[in-house]
This record gives sequence, structure tokens and C-alpha cells, in this order.
Amino acid sequence: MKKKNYLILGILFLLLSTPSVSNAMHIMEGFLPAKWAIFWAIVSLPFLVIGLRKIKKVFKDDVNAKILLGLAGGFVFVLSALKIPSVTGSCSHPTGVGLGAILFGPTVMTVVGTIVLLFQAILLAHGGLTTLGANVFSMAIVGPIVSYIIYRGLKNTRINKRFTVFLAASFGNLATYVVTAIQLSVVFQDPVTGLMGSLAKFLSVFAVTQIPLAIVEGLLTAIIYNLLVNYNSKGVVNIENI
Amino acid sequence: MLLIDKYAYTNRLTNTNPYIKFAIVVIALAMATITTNIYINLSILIIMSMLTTVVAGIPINKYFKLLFIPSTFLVLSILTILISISRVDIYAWRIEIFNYYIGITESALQESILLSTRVFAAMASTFFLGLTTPLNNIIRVLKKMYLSNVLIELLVLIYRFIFIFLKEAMEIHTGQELKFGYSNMKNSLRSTGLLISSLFTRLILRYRDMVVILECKLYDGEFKIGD
Amino acid sequence: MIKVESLEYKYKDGTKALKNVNIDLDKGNIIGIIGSNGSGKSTLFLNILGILRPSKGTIKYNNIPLKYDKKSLRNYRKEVTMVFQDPEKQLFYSRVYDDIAFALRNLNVSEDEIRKKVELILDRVKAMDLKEKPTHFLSYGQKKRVTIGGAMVVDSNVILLDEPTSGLDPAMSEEVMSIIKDLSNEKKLVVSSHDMDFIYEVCDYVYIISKGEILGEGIPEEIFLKSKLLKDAGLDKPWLVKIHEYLGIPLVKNENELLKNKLIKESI
Repeated sequence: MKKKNYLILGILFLLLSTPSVSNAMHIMEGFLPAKWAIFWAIVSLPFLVIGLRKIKKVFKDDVNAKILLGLAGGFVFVLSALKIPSVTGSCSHPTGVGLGAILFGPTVMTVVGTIVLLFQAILLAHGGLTTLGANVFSMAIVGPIVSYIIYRGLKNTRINKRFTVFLAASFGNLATYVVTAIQLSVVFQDPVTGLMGSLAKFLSVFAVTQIPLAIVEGLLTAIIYNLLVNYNSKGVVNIENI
Repeated sequence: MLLIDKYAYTNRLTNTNPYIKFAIVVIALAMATITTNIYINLSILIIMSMLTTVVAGIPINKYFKLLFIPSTFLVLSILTILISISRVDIYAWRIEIFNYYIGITESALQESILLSTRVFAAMASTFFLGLTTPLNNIIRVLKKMYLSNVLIELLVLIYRFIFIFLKEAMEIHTGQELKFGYSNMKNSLRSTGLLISSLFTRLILRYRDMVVILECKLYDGEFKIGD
Repeated sequence: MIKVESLEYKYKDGTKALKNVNIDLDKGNIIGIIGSNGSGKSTLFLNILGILRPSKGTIKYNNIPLKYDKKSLRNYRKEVTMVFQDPEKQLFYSRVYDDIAFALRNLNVSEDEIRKKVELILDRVKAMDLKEKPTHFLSYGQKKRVTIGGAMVVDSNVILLDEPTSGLDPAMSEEVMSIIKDLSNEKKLVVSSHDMDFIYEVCDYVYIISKGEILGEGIPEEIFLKSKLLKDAGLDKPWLVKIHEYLGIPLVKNENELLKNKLIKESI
């Protein structure tokens, strides 16, 4: 029973954490030339393989975990298709970076995130097939890892749990944004100011949307975390170890 | 809600060989990203668009709308690439503010043009795949490419479950709208939080029921899809 | 085939969901289990399926008590299966063919065999035209029929159906009814429903359950005359019974008989 709850909780976070598979930080189709498209795919591949291995192991212990993971994936995808108003007035899609990685591990997140990104590219025209590798790296690998580290790191301190969740989610988001900016600036180096120049450009341009989004998502995640802890205490949903 | 999915099942090319379609798209994407020729990109764009609208029968206006989904990112990124700020003047076109020059270099201009054509060529290709090929068929192609079994199973399951949650999310959202749940920022945030938690709770409940149902279907751990 | 003897089922907090329930599925071909919401119908079904374990009493299949180890349960489920109320939860694939084939694939049946069987089933639930359709494009009624097909393919001896006509329009209800009647020729069916007319027409034996206990049982023509019993259980009477009682018309089994009956024509 405990294992099942562990799984359920894991999924819970998995959903919340799944890579920012939904905001405007998806690098769009065709943006990266073949060299870089392949580069990021190769970089992401080992993480994906590790994630798959871990998942296979989990499935061996619990045949029903597959269903849970499937449900989680569907959930995350739909999450990413929702629209929430951002403080700057524009609409954005929630992402949920990192939190999921917390219990289930960022490696499993990588797999689900990749699948969701694939579906987004085909069904929603967010991101792309050629840029899948790059997006996976920023949203399904780095983001979750950052959130995971922050959450884990602050877990045993006296800092308010909700705040920890907020920080983990926001920073996971921000990490994705920074990585994406780096990925773009490396390819499109500024003719005058070089790599650092283009990095500065991309970071500042996207900061306008990404930083408020990160905050909003952090808040959202904290709210959801709260609600779920509530459900847990009322026995609606059986989750241990939050 | 998923317009692309709907077209995938109702266009004139729905039942054509998915392997061929997949191959066409892969070749097109490869060409667009490997070569650096504007004309090749434009050709790809035109050919793919024709295939999608004329041959497959996707309405042109809908198609163009789809092409412009990522326009914010595109415009923002292109502008970012185009414009440089520095103290040195090597620009083809610039303005001067205080001691800084803000302008566009010749190379940035070339790069942006190439980028734009490449992006549209690639998008048109991916759209051709998405609009004419049902995802089920795409998954079958991936299966033949020896993608991990576990991955294929998850693809099948997640694709199916997406629609359950979409329906629920829409229902919850409508219910909330009717109660003025999205009338201002604070409400929107709270409603969205509630929506997501509701979806999650339902997820857990669904999971429990599905476990029972799977037993009745003699589930043994695998979700096979035959051929 | 299935006998439920002195079944008691307790929730984790100690409340008894089922008390001293006795059911004999040999009393009819299509057995109806009716009761108001919360009466324990679903819990009963889950006990019969072996998903829940009773705190007291036994479930016997062919006079042998259920064993709850994995292997026994798996074999049991090949004999007894269920169609749940919500079709959404029972559709795991995005293609109708794959979803119906699911149980067969789990049994490692060959793809050729599967093709034959699935097409047979699709024909019987009148869903042949839906074979290649994505499940998310189906209407509610179509989904319901597909899920019935998905259970039929297990080829069990007993099929439990939880609210098979709920949410269906009249035409679709009729179709499901005819599918059920057709099925009853080879299988034992147990149906639960809130639709008294449906139960009255389709079932040949009925159990009334209320607050976890069996209040009464009998053939439909008798049990639905017991006004007090029905009232206590929070149930209503089928309209054919009502007009029989209010208008003094002979009690008939279904609408067709009503229209054909000369005596009725004469009395009106």
C-alpha cells in the first residue's frame, strides 16, 4: 500500500512538475539548424534512457503504475493546453516545472515530459519535432532537476513547506527559461556583441513574459499543493509523504 | 478542442500509407534544417502547403491560422536576432541613442530571412504530418522504428487519456465561468488552481476504478497494439 | 452458477455496506438488482467480482467458494466479468478495434483469431461501422455499446452490467436492451438500474436492495406489486404495473403485449 501511495504522490508531483511543456518557451519548429537540433537530441538521449530504465523497473514492481503514468501524462498535456492570465496581461500556459520530479525523481519526469512535448508538437503546434531535443533538455531535464534539488534541499529546513514548493516551482521554471535563452543565443550569436551579447538580448526579451509566469506558476503550484495536502488530511486522496 | 487531431481523421489523406507520409516529412525537415538555401526552404513550404490544403483538403483559412500559432515566439525571437546594441557602428541600418547604436547588421538580416523561411518550411512539414496522419498511425510507425516498448505503450495510453481530461477540464471550466470564476485576475488564479486540483483528484479516482476494470479485462502488464 | 451466501461487507471505518445478503443467480436468466443510490448495489457487484472481500459469508461459483489468490481470481474473471457504468473509464485505446481486442490480446490469442472475434462482437453490438474510429470521437451511446463489446469478448459465462442504459436516449436504450436480450441466450446476466421499466421488461427475477440488505425478491410481475416494499426501498413502479393497478388492465410484460391484448382494447 505504501508503495502505491508513493507512486500516487510521485505522479501528483510529476504532473505538477512536468517540464514547462506548455509556455511560450518552446523553441518552435525549424528554429534550430540540423547541427544544433541533433546536438541537443544527443545530449538529452542519455537522460531519456535512464528515465526509461527507471520506469521499466517501477513497472515490474507494480503493473498498474503504467496506468497511473499514462493518466499523469494526459493530465500534464491538458494542463499545458490551459490558459492562465499572466500579470503582464498576456495569456500563458501553465507548465509545472520540477515539482513532480521531487518524489518520483527527475529521471522519470524526463520520459513523460518527452512524450508530452511530442504530442504538443504534433497536436498543438507548440514546440517542434526538430527542436524536440532542445526542448526536452530545457523542460524535461534541467527544469525538473532544478526543482527537485531546491525542494529536496529545503525539505529538512524550517522553511514553510508551501514556500518551498513555490520556490521549487518558480525556479524550475526560471531554469528552463535560462537554458532556452542559452540554447538560442549559442545558435544566433550577435554579429556585434557575440555570444554574451545575444545571451543578454534573449534573456532580457523573454524575461518580460517568463519571470511573471514563473511567479504565477509558483503560486499556482503552491495553491495546488495546499489543496492536495488538505485532501490528504481529509482522506479524499491517499497520499503519504508530502 | 484539438483541431489538428480532428483533421487528422477527416481529411482526404487519412488512410494513405503513414510510412510514406512520415518519410516525406522526415526528408523535408532534414532538408530544411540542413541546407541553408532560402529557395529550397520556400519550395518545401509551398509543396507542403499544397499537399496539405489542395491534396488533403484542409481549408486554407484554418491552415493559415494554424501556421500563425507560434507567431509571438517567432516575431519576438526574430527581432531579438535582428537587432543589436553596441558602441560600434557596423550596421546596415541603425539609429543612435546617447552613445549607443541600435541597429541591424547585414549578416543579422540574412540570418533572419533564412531563419524565417526555414521555420515556415519546417512548420508546414510538421503540419502536413499532424493534419493528415492520425496519431494512432504515427505511433504505429514509431513502433516499427523499434522505439522502446514501454515508450510506445505510454504513447498509446497518454494519447487516449488526453481526451478524458480535456473533456473534464472543459466541463469544469465552463461551470466555473458560469459562476464568474474568471472575472478578474485573483478569481482566475483561484479557479485555475481549483480546476487543476479537481482534475488531479479525478485522476486518482479514475486510477482506482481503472485498476479494477483492468483486472476484469485480464490485464497482465502490457498494452499491446498488434500491428 | 453464482451464489452469494450471508454476505457481509464492512468499510474500513467499520460501517456495514452489506448485511446478510443472499443471492442465487440460478433463479433467472437476467437477474435485476435494484435499489436507490447508496443502497449497496455497486459494492455487491464488486464483491461478486472478487474485487472486494467480504468480512463474513461467501461467494460461491459452481458451488465452490471463491479463492482470492491471484491465479484463482484470474481464472474466475474469465468466467465472470462486468460492464461498468462510466464508459470513459473502460476505454483504454484510441481505436475501437484495439479496445475491444484488449482482453483477447491479454490472453495471447492470435491476431487472426482476434480479428474474427472482434468483428463478430462488433456486429452483435451493432458497432461494425465504428471499428476503425478513434474512441474519443464516439457519442456516449456508442461508447456504451463498445464497452459492452469489450466485456463480451472475454467470453465469460456471467456478465454483470451496472446501469447499462443510464444516460442513453430512448433509441439507444432500446438497442442496448436488445443486445442484452440477445446475450441472455448464452450468458447469465445481472443488471442493475434505476430504470424500473427497463428492469421490468428485461429481467426475469429481481432482488431489491436497500441500505445494504435484501428487502425482497421475486419475479417482476410479483415483486413490483409490493407497494410498501418498493416504497421502503425508495423505488417506483414500472408504468405497466401502474396502469394495471390504476386502470384495472391485466398485467402485461411489455408494451407490445399491451397493444396486442384484445381484452385491454375492449376494456378501454
